[in-house]
Amino acid sequence: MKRYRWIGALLAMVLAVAACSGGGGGASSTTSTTSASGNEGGVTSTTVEPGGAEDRRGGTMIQALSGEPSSLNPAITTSTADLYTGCKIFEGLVRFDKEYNILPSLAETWEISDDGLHYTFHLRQGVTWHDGQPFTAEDVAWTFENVTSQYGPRSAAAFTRVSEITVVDDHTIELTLTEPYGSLLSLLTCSASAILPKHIYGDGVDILTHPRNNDPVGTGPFKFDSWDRGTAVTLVRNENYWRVDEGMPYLDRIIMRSFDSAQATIQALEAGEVDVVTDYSLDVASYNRLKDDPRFTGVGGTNNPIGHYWIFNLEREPLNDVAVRQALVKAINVAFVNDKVYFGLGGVPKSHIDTRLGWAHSGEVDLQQLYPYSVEQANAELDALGLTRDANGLRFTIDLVYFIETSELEETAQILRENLREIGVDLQLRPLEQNVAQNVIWSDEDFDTFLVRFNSFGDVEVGLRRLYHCDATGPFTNPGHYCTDEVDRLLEQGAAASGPEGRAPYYHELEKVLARDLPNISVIERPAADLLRKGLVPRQNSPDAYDGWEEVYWEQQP
Amino acid sequence: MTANRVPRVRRAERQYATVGAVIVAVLLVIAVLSPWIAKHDPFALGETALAGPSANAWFGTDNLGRDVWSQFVYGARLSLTVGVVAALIGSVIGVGVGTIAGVRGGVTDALLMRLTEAVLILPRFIVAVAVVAFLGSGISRIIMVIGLMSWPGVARIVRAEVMKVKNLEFVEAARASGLGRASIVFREILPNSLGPAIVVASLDIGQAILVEAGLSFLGLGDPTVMSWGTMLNNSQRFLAQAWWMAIFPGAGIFLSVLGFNMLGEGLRASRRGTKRARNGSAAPDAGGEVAA
Amino acid sequence: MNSVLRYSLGRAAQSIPLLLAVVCAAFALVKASPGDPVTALAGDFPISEEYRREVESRYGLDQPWPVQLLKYLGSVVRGDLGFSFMNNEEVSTLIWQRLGPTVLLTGGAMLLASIGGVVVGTLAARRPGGVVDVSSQLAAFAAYAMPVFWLGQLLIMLFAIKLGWLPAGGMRSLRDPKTGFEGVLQVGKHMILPAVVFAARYFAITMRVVRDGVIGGMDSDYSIAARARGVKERRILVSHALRNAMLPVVTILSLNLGFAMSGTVLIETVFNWPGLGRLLFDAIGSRDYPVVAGVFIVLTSAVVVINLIADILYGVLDPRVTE
Repeated sequence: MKRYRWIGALLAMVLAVAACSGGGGGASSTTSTTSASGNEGGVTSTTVEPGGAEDRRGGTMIQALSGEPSSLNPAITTSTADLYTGCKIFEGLVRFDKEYNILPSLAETWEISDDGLHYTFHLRQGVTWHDGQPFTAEDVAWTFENVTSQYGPRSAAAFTRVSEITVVDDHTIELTLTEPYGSLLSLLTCSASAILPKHIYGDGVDILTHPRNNDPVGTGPFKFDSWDRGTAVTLVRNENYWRVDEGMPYLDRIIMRSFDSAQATIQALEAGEVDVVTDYSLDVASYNRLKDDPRFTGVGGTNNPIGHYWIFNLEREPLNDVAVRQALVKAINVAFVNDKVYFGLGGVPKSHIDTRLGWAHSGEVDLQQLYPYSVEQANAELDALGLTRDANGLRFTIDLVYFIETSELEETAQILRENLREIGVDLQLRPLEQNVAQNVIWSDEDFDTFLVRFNSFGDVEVGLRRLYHCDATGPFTNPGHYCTDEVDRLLEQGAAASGPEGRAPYYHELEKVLARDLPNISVIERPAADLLRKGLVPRQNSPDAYDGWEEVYWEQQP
Repeated sequence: MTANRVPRVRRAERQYATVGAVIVAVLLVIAVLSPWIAKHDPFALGETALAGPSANAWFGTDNLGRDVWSQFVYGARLSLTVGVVAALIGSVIGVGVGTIAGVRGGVTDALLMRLTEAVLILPRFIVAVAVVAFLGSGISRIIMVIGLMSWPGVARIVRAEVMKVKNLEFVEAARASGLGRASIVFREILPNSLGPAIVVASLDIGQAILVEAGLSFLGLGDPTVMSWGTMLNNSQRFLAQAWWMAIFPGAGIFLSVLGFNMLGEGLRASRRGTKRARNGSAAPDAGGEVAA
Repeated sequence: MNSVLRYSLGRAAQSIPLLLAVVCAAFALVKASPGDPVTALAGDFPISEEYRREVESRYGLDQPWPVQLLKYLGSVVRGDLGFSFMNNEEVSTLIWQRLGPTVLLTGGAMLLASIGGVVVGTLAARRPGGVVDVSSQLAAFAAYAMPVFWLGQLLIMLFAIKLGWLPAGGMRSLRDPKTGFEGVLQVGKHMILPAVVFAARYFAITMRVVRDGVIGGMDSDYSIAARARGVKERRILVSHALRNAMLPVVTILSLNLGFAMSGTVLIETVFNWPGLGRLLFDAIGSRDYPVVAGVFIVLTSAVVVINLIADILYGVLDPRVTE
């Protein structure tokens, strides 16, 4: 019996020690903490602040993240976990609304010269960094010169066109371009070009490994509080945020909680341990199941224009023949993909430019009309091309490379395989881990077809150019060797023109060319959606999950 | 308390072998007969998705309209193949290494045992994860990796047995009668040392099936084949709405591991029944490492 | 005692080249594989050549790999496990933060398993073939055969979602975090499901070993003689049979403890537990070789140390070994 007492004591000791250690700073408790009741009990209370909208203020929101952020500096990464967290702390000069129109953020107004070569930004006054230092044009200039133009994965290319950055005064900054570039503004959001504080990062320490990346100071609605590695990042309200006269941000605290699997995320949501699951972190099946559940609010149609593209390697036989590609496309039951993988919530693609890109999408091209789903037709066309079936019913074999990352890609790949089987084409699936696949596709170029997710980021020039331009090389660019002068010209003209009216005609023409050439097809316009706990009012005006969290509040705490 | 419980206990334990054998036999029959007892191609798409068990689809359909019964049956074939082949690879290598070490002794033995320990020390599941993540998730690679991680357990056991057996009288007699070394090894030593190895091998089969399921769960399985592990992985997102997608492959894994374990344990018990129980010094299981 | 000490030190010395080999193996595994940290770091967007070269020189990735290996070994010896690209943090800090939760989970599970195993195994052995024995045997078989993640998810659905009694995952409460004793209780509550699921198979193993050992011990010559002398059954059970069964239990548990610590990936994924398993898994995916190697080293050292302690304990409990 003595033995057992000893064991009991050891158990208690181990519990105590490990509960205190292991996890650096645990979540700190701020004095105005409120807790939503749920699995862990707790009292519901609201802090009352003087000033407008006081009944909206208060509360903690817990958001689920896929994976752990690698750093909290959004200017040097494209990882969604980093951006979802970092863009609550930092901001860009502008932001998007639901239709990808440009709205002011840190820049209040701006002018563009007629020749499209001079941009003048008038920055918002009275904005301070979280440590109290004033935000000025110096910070913008410093960030653009030292960070964005070198490390911004999407914006660095744009900044090669910027020849001069001039600080006119504390709140005015000018960019001079070497050639007009219609997409510049859409690359100045937080997720592409977040503004960093010069007084912190300007100390010469390498920005990629800068210690303040883990303890950041930004201008955004929420301040960094603590990071319990492996578990959560805690952010608290920035009391001096520039929308404070509107009462924002409403929430006291946001906790960004990391999960490693979609299943664990949804289970936590259902158990009351998470309040919001957004977009990339939310699997469609769970969204479909829970969107009408009385405990949750589903916010569909958040406008993150992502498609899954089936890309052909045009240097491989028989894919180099457009007639073959057209036949293959007719064998794909895109409606089935939308119906089964996305529960009908996605969009059947009409053209190579996502319908959600607004003005860039003409509505005149419909791939489903040009190449309707028909197994008989596909079979007939392949027969006519001389690609007849052998004794086993097989015409030819091609492979399909895709990342192991999501079940959606996996299921789509399996549907493609079954569809092609009906026309006598053996599609060999090659699911690869992303790093490995990147080598296979862009270094070894050893593939027939490739199924991959591409985000257009709201702008053809930003997101889709890399799929079609001849000089787009390197990972996540044109993998199929599609290269025509015609397309290059259209892309460049679309980029150089300004404003939707100026640029649209080129993109509409591009749609027709791509529909004719079929270097790839999109199999789905992926639905983007958020799932919120009932009582949490979602953002009204943001197309994606990055910005606008200052607008979220608890209408009634559960 | 009667003084001599042991024989009664051993008899009871041998019954486990019988139960285990029955379970394994049923599963093997399903696996072998799968093309005939399945109703559809396990990958064939269908319009009715997420439908519960019915007269049409005995085990229901999955989210792509595929027939779960057919998947289960082909899954049996695949998962059992993975288990048996991986365990076989491990056993063959293990017996080889263990016999050489035991027979030769000396430096060879020391070196081989160091190697064995080194591989044993490696976190088995993590290495499998790493290899599959780096080199790709084909099912043959998965089988190879699992097999290569399981040989040390067999090797240690075989070596211990070989060392015991090689000095026994009948081996001495064979040596004295002039038989060549190779013959002695194959005819006298090996057959008498394999007993415990078979036990470990049957446990390894269960382990291998679990590791494959675990890899699939982490997204590292081979999705181009329909194994129970793949089925379980697919079922995760639908646990709340389509329990049949998870229960059947889970039960399949459970029953096969159970069956092989019972078989192995029963075999071990029946072997021990032929020797007297010693003074409480039950030999510890050979590296009872498990795929957590 | 001296011979035990010498024996133990000898075993310890043998472990060092082992550790060295493991480090090199971890390094080689990551380096030899396709893909590299820079690409992983850049995410899903094309990066320029200058960016790539910058990052590579920052992290020393542009030097020949034997140089990288030597530099790494040198720093490991000094206790510096390097810097993690993906986490922007010292590897040793990362590991230290995640080690606690892993030790907690593994230790807790093993304790559960050993206490449960000893108790149930003894009860089963007292009446072999009886109800307790047969049912516990079957339960042990079942526990051993159950895929851990399946069981885990079913329990989460039952206890966390349907009933709401226990948390669905994580190690701490985020809405309402407490410190001090209440904090410990909170962690304990989060630990129940994962520890129980994790402990299941070790419970099975322990129980069977104890049962076998006790049955064997109760029927040994010593026990028969003691019984003939009139010693009470209960005393024989506790002071002889159980005591003898402890030996293999210690061996088994210590053998498994090290392996258990390396095998937590699945449990940590299902229960969102912030331990080393997930850290390692993510690092493998992003080719973060300092982290991969660092965790390998830590886990292997743990296995070696624990085995060493077990060897010593074994030697203490059973003096025959060192003679």
